Amino acid sequence: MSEPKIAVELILEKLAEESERTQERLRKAKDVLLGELDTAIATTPYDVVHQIDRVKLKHYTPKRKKTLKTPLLVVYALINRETMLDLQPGRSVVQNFMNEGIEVYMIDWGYPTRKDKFLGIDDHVNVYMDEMVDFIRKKHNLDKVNLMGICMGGTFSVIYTALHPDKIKNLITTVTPTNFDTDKGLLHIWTKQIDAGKLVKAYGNMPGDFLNLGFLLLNPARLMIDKYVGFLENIDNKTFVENFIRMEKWIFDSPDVPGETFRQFIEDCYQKNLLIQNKMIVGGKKVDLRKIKVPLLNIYGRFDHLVPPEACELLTKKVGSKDTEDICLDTGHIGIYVSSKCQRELVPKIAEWLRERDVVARKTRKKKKVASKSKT
Amino acid sequence: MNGEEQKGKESEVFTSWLKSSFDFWKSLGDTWPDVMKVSGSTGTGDQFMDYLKSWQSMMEMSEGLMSAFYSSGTVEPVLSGLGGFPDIAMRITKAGWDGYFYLYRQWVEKTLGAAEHAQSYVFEKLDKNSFKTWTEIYEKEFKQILKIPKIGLAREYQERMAELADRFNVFQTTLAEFLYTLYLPIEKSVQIVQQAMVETAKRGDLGDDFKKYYKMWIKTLEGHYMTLFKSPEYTDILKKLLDAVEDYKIAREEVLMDVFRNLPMPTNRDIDEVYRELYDLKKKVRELSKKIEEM
Repeated sequence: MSEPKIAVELILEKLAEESERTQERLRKAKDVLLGELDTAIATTPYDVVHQIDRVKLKHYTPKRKKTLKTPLLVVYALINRETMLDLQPGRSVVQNFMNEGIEVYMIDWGYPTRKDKFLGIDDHVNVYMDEMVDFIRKKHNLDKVNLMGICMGGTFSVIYTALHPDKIKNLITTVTPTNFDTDKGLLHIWTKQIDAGKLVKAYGNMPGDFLNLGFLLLNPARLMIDKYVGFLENIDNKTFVENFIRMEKWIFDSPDVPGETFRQFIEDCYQKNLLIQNKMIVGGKKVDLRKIKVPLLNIYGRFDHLVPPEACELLTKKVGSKDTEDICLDTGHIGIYVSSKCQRELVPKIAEWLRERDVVARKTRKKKKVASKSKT
Repeated sequence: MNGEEQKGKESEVFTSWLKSSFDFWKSLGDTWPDVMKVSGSTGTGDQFMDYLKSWQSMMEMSEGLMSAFYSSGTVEPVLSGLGGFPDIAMRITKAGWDGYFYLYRQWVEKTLGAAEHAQSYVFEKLDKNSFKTWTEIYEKEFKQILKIPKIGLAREYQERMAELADRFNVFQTTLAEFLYTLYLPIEKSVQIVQQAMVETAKRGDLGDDFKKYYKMWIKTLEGHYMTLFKSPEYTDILKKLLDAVEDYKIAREEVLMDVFRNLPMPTNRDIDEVYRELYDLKKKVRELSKKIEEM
């Protein structure tokens, strides 16, 4: 009988220690939370160089000498915001590109209002994206630009390249769903049942809060409980708190998605899987992936629960290009851009891949020039 | 006028409108016998009186239901209704945290030797059948009242009002069922970890680190959720909830448009028509500009 008594005493002692530690943590937490916190996101300076309706084109000038002649246009999804690529100094995809000497343009889709509910994929791809591409081509006096798409923005970029192959030099897709016929991700299972038309009739645009609730429900144990337990355990750590708040700011900054675009994306992509079968119609034209003949780099996350590898990896086999590469990173949907490990891998890989193709293009141009001179 | 005042005004307008449209039916039932007397008609005698009685008792039942519906404090949630996806998220999160604190308390109590008094964790004394029973009662009893044919000048308004009452009730029941489905894994996983704690406590090595049990719980909970979310039952209830939300929202806007039509402000339908025209015009202008550039 004596042993359990000793154990209880030890446990009581531990509880007392724990209680003291908790008090100390709360004391420090008070200082942290009431003190000055640096939680600003998207602080890298940029210029808005073009705007159509609510859609803006951001321009980031590299700090060092440009290593690529062709600028890179980054197209983010309509869900959440492009600020994720510039969360904080030292953890910024945008800054990493600039450090690599790449000139970056990025589309900011803005905050759709009720007026935008009729805008479909055609408007986003053939109007907004096309105007931005044309602006960059004209400004740099180039025929083609490099295009990088993220998630739904990647799907738009694939559609754009298939419809405007003459305007794109290299295509990079990251965590981009193109094959929707999989039951690996919960989104793919749930969206099969959704009556998107009725949702749009009820809401006009898809509310960002609605979509966020859906994302939280993908893993409530981690996203609604464990995450905040972790926060409480580190509430006295200023750097942790700052990073945590930055991420919270980004996650819950969710613009509504234009109703017609949402309906089309759910019905044509998630429910009918038309894109990968070359059957999708955008702006009255069939999207034929075989028309994508430019180099394609397709990057996705092995543990991505929103866009699983099965939704991404078919693309390289379906396009007409012979220069394709798949890269599967050991990370998830967001980790690919924000984890320290991927920060070290993602941008250098893309930069290297682009430089190889920029050199090839330069050499080909030189060869062509030589050939035309010898002819004359 | 600030947002709260505006909300108050809206629900005031809505309440009085709702009440007046109901009163029309009530007064019709009450005055019917007098009208019959004056006109010298007895209807079809006893049969008519039976019908009238059942009409009046139905209206009394309906009045009970409706008065609850249009009483102050009820109308506002109906109107604001689904301001609320963050509210739903908060309710689920709260349930999770309740489970966390409950486990922590159990762990502390057990380490202090109170294991034999440990209670089994029951989140809510809810029974899945209660949703089914309520739905059946609602469909058989109350919904029938809402389905009474509407007549007269205000019939369309009343029809939309009845539709809203119906959709609101269906939405509330479906939401409760959905939340209950999400609570179940919390309840089950807490029970599993609680059982593990009881068994370890009996062996005398419960340990001094709650984190170990927390990790066990969160992993079990995650597993239960994954199993639930992949099940066809969950997909069905999710679809049911979405349908109910959409139906309710559409019905709510229809009624609000009736209310706002009497006020000097445009409705969503009016605005949407303008936006559609604007969208088409912009498209045309863009096409024409391109053609001009190419010329």
